Amino acid sequence: MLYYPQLTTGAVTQFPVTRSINMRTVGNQLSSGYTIRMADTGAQKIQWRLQYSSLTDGERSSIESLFEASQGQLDTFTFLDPADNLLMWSEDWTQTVWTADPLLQVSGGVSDALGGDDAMQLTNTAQTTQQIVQNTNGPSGFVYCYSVYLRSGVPTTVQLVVTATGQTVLTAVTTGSSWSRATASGSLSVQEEGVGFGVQLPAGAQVEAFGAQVEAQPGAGLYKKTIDLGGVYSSTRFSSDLLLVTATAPNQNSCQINLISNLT
Amino acid sequence: MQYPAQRSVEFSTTALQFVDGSEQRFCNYQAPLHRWVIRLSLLDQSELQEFQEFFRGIAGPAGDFAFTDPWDGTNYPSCSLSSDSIAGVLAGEWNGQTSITVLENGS
Repeated sequence: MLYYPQLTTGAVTQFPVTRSINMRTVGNQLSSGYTIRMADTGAQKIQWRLQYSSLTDGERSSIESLFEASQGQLDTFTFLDPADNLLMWSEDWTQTVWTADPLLQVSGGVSDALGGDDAMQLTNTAQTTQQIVQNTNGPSGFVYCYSVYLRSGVPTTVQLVVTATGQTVLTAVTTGSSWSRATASGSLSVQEEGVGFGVQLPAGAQVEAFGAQVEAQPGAGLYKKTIDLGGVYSSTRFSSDLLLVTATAPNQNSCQINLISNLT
Repeated sequence: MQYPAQRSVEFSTTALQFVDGSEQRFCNYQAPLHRWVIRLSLLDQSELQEFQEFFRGIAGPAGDFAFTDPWDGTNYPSCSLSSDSIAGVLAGEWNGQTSITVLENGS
């Protein structure tokens, strides 16, 4: 499996990033001004334009290696959208993309950190720890920042879970009565395809959670709500068969990368 | 909506000209159709992503939505987007830019 590389900073790209969503709509406009429109869902695309400057030779080399491995625009690779939340259904943990242990009760409709009613209540009815996790198709060895808003009626120590086959990292956070954003940043040492993120509760604990977010970077960005689409695109291609890199000084390189992926 | 904001009103008129120079005109639309060009800058990441999610959620121009005219508060119950694509430029963490055009649908 090929992955679009991170820079040495742990970020996927630099500013500016241009992200375009393209639809295809079949339309018929009548003389009265009324229009009949139908979406052609199979043709929906998303594109990114990534502009790099001051890349080290190592960073340049990793992009060139991917370009050669994917043979320009021929083959696909996985791209982690730097402008999006990598998790799906960030505010609805009852969806099937979230896997909860059997004795962890998950319910919605709780007032959230942003003034809405989209937080989840997690109740561990077991005599041991229970967790809820969402698996993504990102590589386990990348740097990620996982963040989630948490609160509880009584102070509770919960664990933020980052897990892949063969390794699980737990980060203890203590929740209070007001919303606070807990973060866990870093990378796993195992090199697996797929990594999961979630929350683990001690026996008998009840906490409220909201706005789970994962980004392929060391620090947490502003929260971005997602529904049925996360920022992991497993069938991304280069838009061009040409990769032009300009060396501006020793160990200083610049280039522009155009990527495209199906949206569905 | 941010400045500069643009709003337009469009009629559709068919004119028939006769050999004596006189004309007969009639309107095709039941009512004029409105159009708003919304250019946004200095958006944060969250706001920019919210716009793009809205665009994706309604499948671009295929979807209908209600739009409240920010000029006078009038609610237009059936509107759609004009373009098959939306581009968002994130020049910095708090410096997102995008642009959309909203069309009032005729009936």
